[in-house]
Amino acid sequence: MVDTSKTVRKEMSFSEVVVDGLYAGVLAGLVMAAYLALTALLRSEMLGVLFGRFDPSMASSPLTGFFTHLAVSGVYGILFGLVWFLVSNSPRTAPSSWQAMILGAGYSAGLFFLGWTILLPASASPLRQLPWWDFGLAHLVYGLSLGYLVYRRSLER
Amino acid sequence: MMSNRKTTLLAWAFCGLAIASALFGLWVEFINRDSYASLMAFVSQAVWRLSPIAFALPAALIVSRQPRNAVGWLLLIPAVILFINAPLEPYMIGIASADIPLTPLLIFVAWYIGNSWLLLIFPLLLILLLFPSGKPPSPRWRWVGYAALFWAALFVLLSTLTDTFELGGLVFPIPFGFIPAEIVNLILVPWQFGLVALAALCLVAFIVRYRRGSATEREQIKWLLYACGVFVAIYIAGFVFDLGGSETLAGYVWGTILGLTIMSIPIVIAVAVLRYRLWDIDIIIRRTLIYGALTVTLGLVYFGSVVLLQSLFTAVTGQSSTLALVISTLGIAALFTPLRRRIQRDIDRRFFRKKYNAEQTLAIFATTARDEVELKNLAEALLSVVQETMQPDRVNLWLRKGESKR
Repeated sequence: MVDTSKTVRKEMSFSEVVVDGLYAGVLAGLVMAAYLALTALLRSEMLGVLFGRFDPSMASSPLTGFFTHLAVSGVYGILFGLVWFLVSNSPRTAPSSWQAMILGAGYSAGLFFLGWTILLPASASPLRQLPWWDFGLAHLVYGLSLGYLVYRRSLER
Repeated sequence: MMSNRKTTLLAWAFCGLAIASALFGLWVEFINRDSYASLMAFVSQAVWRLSPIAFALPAALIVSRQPRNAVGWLLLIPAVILFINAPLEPYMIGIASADIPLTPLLIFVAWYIGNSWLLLIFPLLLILLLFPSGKPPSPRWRWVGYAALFWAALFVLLSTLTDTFELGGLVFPIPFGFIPAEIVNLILVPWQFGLVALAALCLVAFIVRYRRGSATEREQIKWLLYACGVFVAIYIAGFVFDLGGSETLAGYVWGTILGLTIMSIPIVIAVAVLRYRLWDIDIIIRRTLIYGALTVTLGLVYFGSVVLLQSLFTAVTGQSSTLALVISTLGIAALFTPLRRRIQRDIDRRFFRKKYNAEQTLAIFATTARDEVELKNLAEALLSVVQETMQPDRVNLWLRKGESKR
């Protein structure tokens, strides 16, 4: 028997993987938003306040904040697509589903570290008001979803 | 009964008046262009000034080609009303601020303006009921049309028999009105519910016609659905981003686009009724879906990329940089083609399955043709691909003998 999934991965083009990353990034961003909304409700925090923190203009508009979150998630997804292209370019190194999720989790841990320690303090973002572990777990959820979605997409192609 | 020639002349005469009125309004706006905050504010207003033309021209075209089709006449009514109201509404605003004594003529003008919205709304409801043939979907639906006419007449009767009515902050007494305004306002509450019910019935008639209609009728309805869909999408976008009445560039751009989408509705009605390039609608819908999704996605990526890069530059250099915009623009330029290809594939797979299946079959055949060396197998594959993509009644393959070895 021939492992067709690995043969297909070999034919992946760079641009296709980038677009896969974008799609997966936006979807994973939705999953992360759902997780954040759930934890906010558990903390008895209004969803408008939660998503208003993502508004880069500091006007605390929940809608702008929500779309900003999705947009940034999409861009991070594109970057993950680049990582995925490098990792899965050879059939020998192509990750399995759980390896893809671990890769996603590692990637999101890096994003969390970069955001929490450098980007958010520099822009004086109100996202720093969230508990750090909550924000970190949200990133983990994002990373796991991102890894799984990109892996699924690579199989479907 | 008027002859076709006379009705055509009448329709074109109304159309001419509407065009003259719209152009005059546009000229007045142009003279006063300095009073606008920006060029876009002027353009936004100018588009609304041109709306009577968008109704009058398609209406006159339909009436001249199909005088018995009620849709043309119904389209002409809003055009005429917009033409009449254009000079009257500023006049009423002037009166409200000048405190002029009320004359019978003034009261009549105010009464007319207070009722004229009926002549904008009810023709649109009846168009839903009668589009595209000018008749209801079946004789059983006729009563909806009569009910709509009765409902409009009831409103006119109530607003005529009320003792006073209010318009633009002014209270006008009606000389022969005897029903107290409070009672009329009370009666108008169930009247409004009736209007919503009528609108729902007209919509149901529209859906029934689509479900039971012929292929041609469905294509005609698709045109109107397409224009209404675009209008609703633009309207919702303005509502979500709070652009309605906003005196910003985005607000004026949105106002202009909204005006154009409203103007496109009578135009597509004419296209559908006159069956001009009727079957192009599937291509137009497909392209709108593809390029609409592409624009939204690229906009989202651009915005996300600018936000991220600006925060990165702020963290590194302590200030924002225009380099973020340059990199983001280059990024979306690079993303354009692969993203369009992907969106096109997804939309074809979901909404245009037949086309997608045909493309898939051709792609598989291309692989088979590359690898297959047996003529018999290749011929079978070719017949199969023709059958699946073209779906002919019968297919034969003729192979010339004796010239295979060269």
